[in-house]
Amino acid sequence: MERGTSRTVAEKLDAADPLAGFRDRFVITDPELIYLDGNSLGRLPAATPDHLREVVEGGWGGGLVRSWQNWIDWGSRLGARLADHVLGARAGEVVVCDSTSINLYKLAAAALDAAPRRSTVLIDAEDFPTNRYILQGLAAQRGLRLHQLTSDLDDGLQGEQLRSALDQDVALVVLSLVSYRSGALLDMAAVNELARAVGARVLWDLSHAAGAVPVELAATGAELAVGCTYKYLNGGPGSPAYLYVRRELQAQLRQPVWGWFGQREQFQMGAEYDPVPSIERFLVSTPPLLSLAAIDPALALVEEAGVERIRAKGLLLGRLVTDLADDWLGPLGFRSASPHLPERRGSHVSLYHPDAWRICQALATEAKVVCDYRVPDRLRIGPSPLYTRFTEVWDAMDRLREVATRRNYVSRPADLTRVT
Amino acid sequence: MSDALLRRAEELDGDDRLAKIRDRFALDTSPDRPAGAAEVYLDGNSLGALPHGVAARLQDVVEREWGRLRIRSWDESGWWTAPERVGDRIAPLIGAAPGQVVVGDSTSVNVFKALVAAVRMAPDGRDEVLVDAATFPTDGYIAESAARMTGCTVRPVAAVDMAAEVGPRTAVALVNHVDYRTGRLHDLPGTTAAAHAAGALVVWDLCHSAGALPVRLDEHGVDLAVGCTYKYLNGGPGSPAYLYIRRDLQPRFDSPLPGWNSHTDPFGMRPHYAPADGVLRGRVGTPEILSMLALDAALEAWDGVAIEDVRHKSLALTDFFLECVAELVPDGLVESITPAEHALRGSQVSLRCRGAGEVMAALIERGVVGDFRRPDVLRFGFTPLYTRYVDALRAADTLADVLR
Ligand SMILES: Cc1ncc(COP(=O)(O)O)c(C=O)c1O
Ligand SMILES: Cc1ncc(COP(=O)(O)O)c(C=O)c1O
Repeated sequence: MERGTSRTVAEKLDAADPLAGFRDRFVITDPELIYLDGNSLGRLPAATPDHLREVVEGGWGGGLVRSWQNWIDWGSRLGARLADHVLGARAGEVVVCDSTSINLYKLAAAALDAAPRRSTVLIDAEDFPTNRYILQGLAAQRGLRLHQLTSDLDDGLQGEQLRSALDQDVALVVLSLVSYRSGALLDMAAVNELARAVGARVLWDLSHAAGAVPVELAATGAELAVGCTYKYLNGGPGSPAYLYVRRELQAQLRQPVWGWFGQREQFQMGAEYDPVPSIERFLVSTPPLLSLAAIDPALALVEEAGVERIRAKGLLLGRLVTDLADDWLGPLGFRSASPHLPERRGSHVSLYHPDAWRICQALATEAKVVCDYRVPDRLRIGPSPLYTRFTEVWDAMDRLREVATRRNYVSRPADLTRVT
Repeated sequence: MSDALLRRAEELDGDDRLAKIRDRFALDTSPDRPAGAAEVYLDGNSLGALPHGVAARLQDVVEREWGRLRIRSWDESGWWTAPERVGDRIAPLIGAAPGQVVVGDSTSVNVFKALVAAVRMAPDGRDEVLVDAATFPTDGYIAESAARMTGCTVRPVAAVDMAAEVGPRTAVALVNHVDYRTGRLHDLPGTTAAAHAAGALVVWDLCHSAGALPVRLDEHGVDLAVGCTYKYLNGGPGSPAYLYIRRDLQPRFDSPLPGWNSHTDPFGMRPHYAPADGVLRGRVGTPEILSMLALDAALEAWDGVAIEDVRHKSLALTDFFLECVAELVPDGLVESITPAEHALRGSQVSLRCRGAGEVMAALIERGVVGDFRRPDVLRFGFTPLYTRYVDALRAADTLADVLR
């Protein structure tokens, strides 16, 4: 990539972008507005409204209860597509259901049950809170030791830190492949290998990775994973999550929320819980079908574009952000809060600024650039490759520079809103 | 079909205070059925019909709130607080004052939260979970797993004996308010009082009662309740369930699923879990917004509807259906397992019959949709918001035809 801060660089990248056409497959109502928050909530795919209308009016309204004949295995079918195109998993290893938090609970508890003689759980103290809270709850209930590793806020967890914390007492390691705050990308194969050496299992949270970076669950020997579908997969607000369990492990594990969707011959209504041997044993209950349905057209776009191409573009977008930040923003009080090498990041970049919250607000309201703020003082910039242009990133960084230079933001309230 | 019955049905429909509510639903829209031959849908106790406003609302949620406002909608469109807001909308239907109902996740997951939390709240030394012996299976499985997790054992007890069986070892009893197979309505006030007298808690599963009859949770001092919203509440396939936590128990509600949405400061990314005050401690992860807001829109069908009127019509409909069956179906071919006594009846009629599976298939073929529950039960659900007396008659008449 040509290094330089002129807009022409971005224009050239757009002209050469093989994914440029995908932008039109999303609903873009205000071309002036630059949306760099697809890592939190992906944009609406253009095909989604019609698909949902058909499910509501044809499936629910017209077919009524009979439509369940068709709907009943949507979670498995979407899981198979995710496995194949996004997660590098094999058939029958992924299913879509519940929220990420609930899936994390199910798989963590299942793994802990399977390792009764080990009493330590390793997590990253800087991981997304829901993961920490769920594991705190499990550890407290079972009297396990929760060992919280303090990873570097900007650079992520270091291999050495992990290695020295791993021993024969560790039952489970829970980590995000891409950090929600810094974007630091871990080496999945290396972590799996380290854990395997001491007989510990790793449960991966792929929320900020899936659909942004290639994930190779099968090839890296990963055993357990969960993640959400509303970020780079564009499934819509609160769309159901997925879970992955390595095939060889499935029959040995039992998740703790024994619902009828995991039952053999579910409609026999048998009195004893007797889970199916396949990945569906990790299901619990009736899926929220409209939220589930929205994943279908969204996933089709990722499949068509291919994660390799998405990643290639994501690397260039990230480079553009950091190059411009390096050149323009240092004197304005910013510094990078992400790993320096693009290969060591997911698709978002974080910038430190003591006034990040107010700048984030000012950017959105005065400059029509939407990114987000993460405590304590980070601005998170997430250009989702499927629909973000290089020139948008350039313009966004230019507007950020302007907002930071003008310093109007200092008159904004410093209090955080409820939802950030 | 007897003329007398038809006249009665038409008269009853003419006098029905809820008759107009049917217009709020997208029924009779199937293009491949001639007018007048609309389907008789008696499976609203499995999946409720589609209320008219839902498609437009969902379109707005998708195209404007998600498509145009995107992330801003968590705040500006009230997505973040939807679980409590929609909960408060359900509350009056189940006799709950505001601030005690939260929506999200499935019924099964909420049964799990409620049972584990109940055991954790129960007095020390109690190690038994009583479960309605005829329970819908998912509740039974969840009870097993919750018990196993909390070091309790499960003892199945017939729902009617629950009040007598709760004892000094009982931590919690899980009871279905209406039995999904027989349609029998269980004694919520009596069972709750007996459990409390024994020092135990009760979790009620309201799947088959909410929206079909008055459920007076506050009045009877119910501890915890759960229910699904896709049956009589018409929230759509798999619409999220609700969890009721009585106000004074909320500070002690200790969820097995302490996800970030139940934290007092979810975006503070704090190191330790500290549950929020109020019913939102029943939340876990990011709510399933599209399904939840479809439910929100569907609940508009209840505007101005008194649940007492629903109950009145439900009993009248099921009475009338039983009467039509008695008159039209030759003796001995079917047997009702739904109690005749009003005080013991929910809003469905279950008929045992030989070859029930094939019989139901034939009924559906002829435009009468109920469902089949193994081994030999035909289930007909009467949803007073949109079921007519003529529908009850046509169902009985078609059944007679099929069986003859
Ligand atoms: C009594 C009862 N409980 C629970 C459920 C379903 O639970 P879920 O929505 O979790 O699959 C049903 C569904 O028919 C039910 O009848
Ligand atoms: C790493 C990670 N895990 C989990 C979640 C969310 O989980 P849930 O969908 O259960 O709220 C997020 C959301 O941002 C996340 O970043």
